[in-house]
Amino acid sequence: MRQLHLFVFLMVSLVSMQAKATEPAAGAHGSEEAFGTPEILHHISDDFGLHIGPLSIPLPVVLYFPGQGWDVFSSSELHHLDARGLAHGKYAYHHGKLTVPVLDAAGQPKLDLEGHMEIAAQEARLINIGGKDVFYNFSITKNVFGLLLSVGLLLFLFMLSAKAYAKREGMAPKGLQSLLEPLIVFVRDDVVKPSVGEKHYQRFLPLMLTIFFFIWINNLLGLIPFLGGLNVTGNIAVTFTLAVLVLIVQLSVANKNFWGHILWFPGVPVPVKLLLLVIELVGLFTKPFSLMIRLFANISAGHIIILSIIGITFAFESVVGHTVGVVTSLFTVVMLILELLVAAIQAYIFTLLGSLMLGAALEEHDHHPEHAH
Amino acid sequence: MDLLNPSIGLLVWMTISFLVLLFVLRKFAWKPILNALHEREAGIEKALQSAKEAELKLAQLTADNEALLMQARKERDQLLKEAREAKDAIINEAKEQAKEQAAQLLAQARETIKNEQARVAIDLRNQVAQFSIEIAERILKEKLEHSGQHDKVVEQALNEMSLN
Repeated sequence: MRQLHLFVFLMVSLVSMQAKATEPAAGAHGSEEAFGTPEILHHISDDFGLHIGPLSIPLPVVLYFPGQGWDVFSSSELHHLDARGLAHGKYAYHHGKLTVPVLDAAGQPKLDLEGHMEIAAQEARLINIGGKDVFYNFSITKNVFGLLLSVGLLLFLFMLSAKAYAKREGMAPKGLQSLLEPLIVFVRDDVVKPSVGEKHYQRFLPLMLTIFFFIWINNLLGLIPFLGGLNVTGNIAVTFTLAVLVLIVQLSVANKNFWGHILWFPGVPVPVKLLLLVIELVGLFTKPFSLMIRLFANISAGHIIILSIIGITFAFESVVGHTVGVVTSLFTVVMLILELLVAAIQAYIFTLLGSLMLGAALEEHDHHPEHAH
Repeated sequence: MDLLNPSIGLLVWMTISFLVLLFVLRKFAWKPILNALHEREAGIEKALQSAKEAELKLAQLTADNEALLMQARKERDQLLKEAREAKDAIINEAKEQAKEQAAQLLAQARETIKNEQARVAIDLRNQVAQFSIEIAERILKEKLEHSGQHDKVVEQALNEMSLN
C-alpha cells in the first residue's frame, strides 16, 4: 500500500513537471492560449527539433528538391528568422510546418488577401493536396529520431538476448532473456501459430515478432515523459508502412484458394460472383487500412487525451490552476497506466490481425462456403 | 489534414529502418532465439519422454522383481513342502523300521521266552521227576523201616524240597 502511494506521488510529480516543461515550449510558438489544441496537435505531429525536458536538441533538416538537389541545415536555424520572417534564407516555418513561400521581385514573400504567405512548394506527402510543387523531407525529424532510437533499442535488446541463447545453450533463461522469452513464446504460440496455422506459421514468425516488438517499444517510448514526445506509432506514415508491408506479404504468399474466393467466388450464381468480386476486392484493402488507422488512432488518441487532461490545468488561471492541476495530474496517472495497457494491446492486435490476414491467404480449401468470409 | 497524409520522407525512413530491422533481427536474433527455443522445447519433451520411459521401465522392473520374488517364494514353499514330506517320509520309514525291528525283537524274545519256558518246563519236569523219585525213594525207605510213619516222611521230604 505504501509503495503504491509512493508510486502515485512520483507519477503525479513527473506529470506535473512534464506539464511545466511543455508550458514555455507552447509559449514559444506565439499562441494566445498557454496550452490548447494547436499545441496538442503539434505534439502528436512530427517536428524538426527534439525537446528532451527543457533541452531543445537540433536535428539535421534534409530536404530534396526534384531537379535542384539537396538542402541540408540544422533545425535550430528554423527558430532564427531573418527580417522577412524566413528561415535559412527561403523557408517559412509556421506551426511546425515548413514551406517555401513565393517571393516577389524584391525578394519579399508574397502575401495573399488574408495576409498569409503564398506557398510555392510544400513537403511531399502521399496525397499531394493543392497541386503545388513539392520537396522531399528526409530530415531526421522527431519521429525519425524515435524510429532510429527504437530500431537501435530493438537490435540491442534482441541481439543481446540471442547471444545469451548461444552462450547458455540448453540452460534455463536468465536476465533479459527470461524477460523477453515469455513474450516471444506468447507471440509465437498464442498469436501467430493459431492465426496463420501450424503448417506455415514458422515462415512469418520473424516478421510478426519484429512488428510486435517494434510497435510495443515505440508505444512505450511515446509514453515516457520528457523524451521529446515521441509519437512514432501514432504517425500515419509508420502505420501505413507496417500495414502495406503486411498486405504485400499477404498478397505474395496467397494461394490459389484465396484468389479463387476473391476473384470468382465458388458455389454462387454469376451475378453474386460479380458482386462478391467487388466486395472482396474492397475487403482486400480495408483490412490493412483498418490496421493502419487503428494503430495510428489509438496511439494518437492516447497522447491527445493525456495532453488534454494536462491542458485543463492551463485553462484555469494561477491558484485555481494549481488546485485543478493536482486533480488532473491524478487523472493523467490513470490515463498513463491505461496507455501502458493500450501500448501492449495495440501491438498484440496489430500482430494478431496481421497474422489472420496471412492465415486467410494460406487457408486450404476445406471450409464451407457459408462461413468462408 | 497533414495528420492523415503520410509524409514521403518519413515513409522512406520507416521502410528502410523497418526492413533493416527485420532482416538483421531475422538473421541475428529471431533465428538463433527461435532455434534455441525449439531445441530447448524438444529437449524438455525428450527428457519428459525418457522420464516416462524410465518410469515405465522401473515399473516393469518392479513387476519383474515381484514376479521373481513370488516365484522364489513359491519355490521355497515347494522346497519346504518337499523337505517336510521327505522328513515325514524318513520319520515314517524309521518308525516303520523301528516297529518292524521291535516286532522282530519281540518275536525273538517271545521265541526265546518260549524256548526258555520249554527248557524250564523240561527242567521242572525232570526235577519233579527227580523229587518224586527221591520222595518215593524215601517213602519206600520209611515204609520199609516204620510202616506208619510214611506221611511224616513225605512231609519232611516236601519241606526239604521247598528249602531247596
